[in-house]
Amino acid sequence: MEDLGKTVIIITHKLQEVLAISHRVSVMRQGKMVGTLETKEANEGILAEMMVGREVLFEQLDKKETFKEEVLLVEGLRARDNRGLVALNGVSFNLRRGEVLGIAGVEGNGQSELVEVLTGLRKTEEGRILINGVDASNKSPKEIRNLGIAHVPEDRLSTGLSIEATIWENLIMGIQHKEPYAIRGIHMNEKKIKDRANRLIDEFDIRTPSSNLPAGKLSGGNMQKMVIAREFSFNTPILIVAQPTRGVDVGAIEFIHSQIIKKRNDGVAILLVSAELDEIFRLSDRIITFYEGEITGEFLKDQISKQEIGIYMTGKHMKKKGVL
Amino acid sequence: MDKRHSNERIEYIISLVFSIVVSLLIGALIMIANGRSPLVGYGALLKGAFGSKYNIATTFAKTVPLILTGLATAVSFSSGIFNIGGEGQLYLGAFAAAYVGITFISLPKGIGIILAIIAGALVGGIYAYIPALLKVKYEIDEVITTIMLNSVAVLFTSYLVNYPFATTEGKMGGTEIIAEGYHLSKMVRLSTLNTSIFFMGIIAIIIYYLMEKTSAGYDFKMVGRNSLFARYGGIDDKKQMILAMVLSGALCGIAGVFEVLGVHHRFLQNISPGYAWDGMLAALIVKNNPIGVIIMSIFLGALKTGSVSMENATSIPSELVLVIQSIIILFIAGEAGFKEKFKVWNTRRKAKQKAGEKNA
Repeated sequence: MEDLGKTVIIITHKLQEVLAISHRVSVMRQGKMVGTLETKEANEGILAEMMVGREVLFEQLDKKETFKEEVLLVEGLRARDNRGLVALNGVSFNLRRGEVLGIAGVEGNGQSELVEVLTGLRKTEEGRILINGVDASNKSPKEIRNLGIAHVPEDRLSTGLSIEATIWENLIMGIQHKEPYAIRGIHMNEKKIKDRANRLIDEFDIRTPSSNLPAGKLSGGNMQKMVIAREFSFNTPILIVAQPTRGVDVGAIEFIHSQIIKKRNDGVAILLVSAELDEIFRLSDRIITFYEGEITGEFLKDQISKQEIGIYMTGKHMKKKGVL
Repeated sequence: MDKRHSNERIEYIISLVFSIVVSLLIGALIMIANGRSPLVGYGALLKGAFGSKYNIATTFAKTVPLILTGLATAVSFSSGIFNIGGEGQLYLGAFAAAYVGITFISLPKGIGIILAIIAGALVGGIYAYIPALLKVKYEIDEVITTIMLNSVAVLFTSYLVNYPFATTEGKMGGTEIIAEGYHLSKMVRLSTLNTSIFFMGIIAIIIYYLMEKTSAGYDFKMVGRNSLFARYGGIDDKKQMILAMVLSGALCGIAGVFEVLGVHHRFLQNISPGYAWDGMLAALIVKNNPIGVIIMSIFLGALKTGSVSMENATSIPSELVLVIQSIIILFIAGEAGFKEKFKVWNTRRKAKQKAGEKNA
């Protein structure tokens, strides 16, 4: 297009995209133009700072070595997608405490179905899931939550929250029948529930004037922080986190990443599914590649580069090996 | 701190009051167009609804079935399953009460009444369970099934009271009078107001408490707002929908019970002039808020009672009230749109003002 002498305007929050293809870049924040500069003069740090209005540190996250004990074992999982096609074809892996296991793959290769099966939202046809040695295959979401899995879903609007419900109503989901939030399991203790909500709002930096606001009034980043606050607050031994920073601004990304690593350092086992390779590489200790419902490779983070991993995500490694 | 949120509720109440006022004004215009004085017309209406002890009693007697069926609608609609079959459940509940009342004639007074209420609730609940199960198991649209089951219930009870259970007192399409012990006492001479209003009050408080203050009510509402989110959070959304439907059916059944025990003392084939529809109307206007249902039912009850007196006193047809009701519905349906338009207009106006200041 450019060669044809046309003008191209690209609007995105992905910094690398801008840096890769643009000539000039303008940054907008809260409906105002913050500034324009030549792309040559820009880098991720400068742009992020302009976008957020303060310095954003994409610093190295501090990862601690922890005791690695297996808490989740998945064996030969098979499941179908909504159209009845095979979405998972014999998937096996394990997950240990204190590690982030990243699942890399082009979207639509079975990662979503894997998360749904693990959290009880989809049935599996074959294979089994062991949580701390207890069989959790085809259990209900409630039973799986009780076995110790919390889940940040890939689509917050459809699965992770109710836009009509207030923030405190969204934050209590999952423990609404438990003491002290439900007195004798019946009467909702609004004071306790709201106190907890306000605590989470502070702790997870959810920008809102009140927990009585409908969640739909929050920005995408704050909605996501609300979902993460709820799921992380359950203190489960296992966390399944899908697309944690999709559609979220740079400041919130930084915050969410640091929260995930904090959980990891506390000895929580984290399964991270993301379409963003940068995110996978930044957070993971181990990486599994997914292609057409199968695992095509497993690597320690330092064993593989972003370029190489692309080959496994597109199934080309088989060609290379002469399988296809 | 809670400003913005409570603002929304207040905004809705303002638009509601605004809609009602405008509909009444349009009603007034219609009266003027027909050469009648709206002051006289509305005066007669108000007098008819609240003018004397008898009128007030009649107005409140009307609210009993409206509030019960309105709450039934609120429970099911806010749980994301739509019970449009209230009328049929009401008929079956009423018949069940009459059946109990003509079968177990020697029960002590209180026990008989409670038995009749339980029977009506049970029958209404079971009748609602069928479409709920079809919806949850086979994804058959409950709106269609419940609407169709209305006719089934009305015609079935009509058959019952014309053949197997027909009264021997002549052809009227009704059962025998229920035993004395089942009669709820009348509270004001000549009016139909009876002690069922107290039972209704207790039930309304329980439903309000259930829906607004308990974790079970939270589960219902979350399923209604986003069933996938509810399931993800560990709520059995299908079970919750069935429960809501059954509860809704039971409430409609109880509404029928009170018509038999309190008003007619027998089942009649046309026992309800569409109470469940009016109840649903009340619930829809106030967006399924339990307290709103009660207020709106009193308003609709007053309109209904008053319109009859208005027709008698001024020969303005009572159908005018239907026109007013319909206009309120139209306004409420367009509420979001109107509000949006108003906001846009308001922002533009402010922006223009600002621009004007800058230019000056």
